[in-house]
Amino acid sequence: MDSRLSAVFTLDLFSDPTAAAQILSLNQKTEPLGLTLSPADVTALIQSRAEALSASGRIEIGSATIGKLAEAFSGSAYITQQNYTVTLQELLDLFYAFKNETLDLISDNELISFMKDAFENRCGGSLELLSNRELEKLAENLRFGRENYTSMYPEPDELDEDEREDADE
Amino acid sequence: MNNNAITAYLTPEEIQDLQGRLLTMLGEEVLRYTGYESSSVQVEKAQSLYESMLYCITAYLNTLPDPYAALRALSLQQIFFGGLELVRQYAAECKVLLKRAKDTRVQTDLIAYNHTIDSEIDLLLKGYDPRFQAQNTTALSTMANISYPLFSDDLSVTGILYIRNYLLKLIEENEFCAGYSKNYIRALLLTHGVKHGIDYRDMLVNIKELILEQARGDIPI
Repeated sequence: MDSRLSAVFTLDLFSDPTAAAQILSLNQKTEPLGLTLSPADVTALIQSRAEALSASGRIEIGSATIGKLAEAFSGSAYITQQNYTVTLQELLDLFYAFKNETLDLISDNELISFMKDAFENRCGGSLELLSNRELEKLAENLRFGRENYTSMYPEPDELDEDEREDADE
Repeated sequence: MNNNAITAYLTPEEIQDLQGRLLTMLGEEVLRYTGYESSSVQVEKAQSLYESMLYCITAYLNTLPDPYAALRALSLQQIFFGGLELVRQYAAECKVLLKRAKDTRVQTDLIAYNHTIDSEIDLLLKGYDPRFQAQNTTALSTMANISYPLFSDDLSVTGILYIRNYLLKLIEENEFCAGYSKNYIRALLLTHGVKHGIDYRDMLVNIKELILEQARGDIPI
């Protein structure tokens, strides 16, 4: 029996077969906000999720991320019915990419919460700013072990002895 | 129990069923590994978790007279948790074996020997993760990071089984070497060092092997 995971399983088998139904059921919550997903939209999102996972070299157990992103961002002032699906697709790409960039040091819920807060309150609905400024900074903060990792201006890094000597010179 | 034997003793349908059950268990292990805070991991991590599961399962099945009957009779979860418990017992046993190795140690200033007994194995045991990296003895390698070479090392095993095996053989060699004086062993090492033009304390040689070579007349002192 081959111990190579890829030889044994199609990693897509970890997906939840009821994902489509679960995502469609979110329409009950988002419809009052003017946002709904059609079955074709859900199919496109599930496909996008699979592509984003493959591109980022990750596997996911279940398919909860789509629903979590949809719930978190459905209240956004910058998302309309016209851009709802395509925005969710881009958010999926960013989510999995930055799970890697943050070395898995941040939980799913916290990352989604950060993305929503930044997108809404600091990026004016710009996915480019979210990706290139906010998420990049978050990833850097986490990789350097900074305590205040959600801040754009965390505390200065502690210098080691050599760095202190260089600074004094 | 190896891949060829599995395919010989289990039918294709049984193998497929086994793989399906492993898949379900792997999903649970991934979630447990992330503390249920993340539903995704990198593929390499999933691969490592999968290998760790297989390591525990194989460790358990290898203790049974008929592992294939067990695969049919027991749930995979029972086998996995049986293996995990076994691996944890081996890790605890290795701590006792290390103490025994220290108690029976050869009195020598061979650096590799002393470093292995005094620090390397201890570090490996401290860093050992039986649940999520059972197959590894370091974060970076599947082989123990051990300097001192054994007289006869079994490189077909990995993880905690390798360390356990290593310690058992080291104790055996220590007991063999106890039949020779400290000065005799030092003379052997010194001669070997002079022959090869290096400080004998830095050599990566096995003491028992040198003793046996001398007994055969290969090393005149």
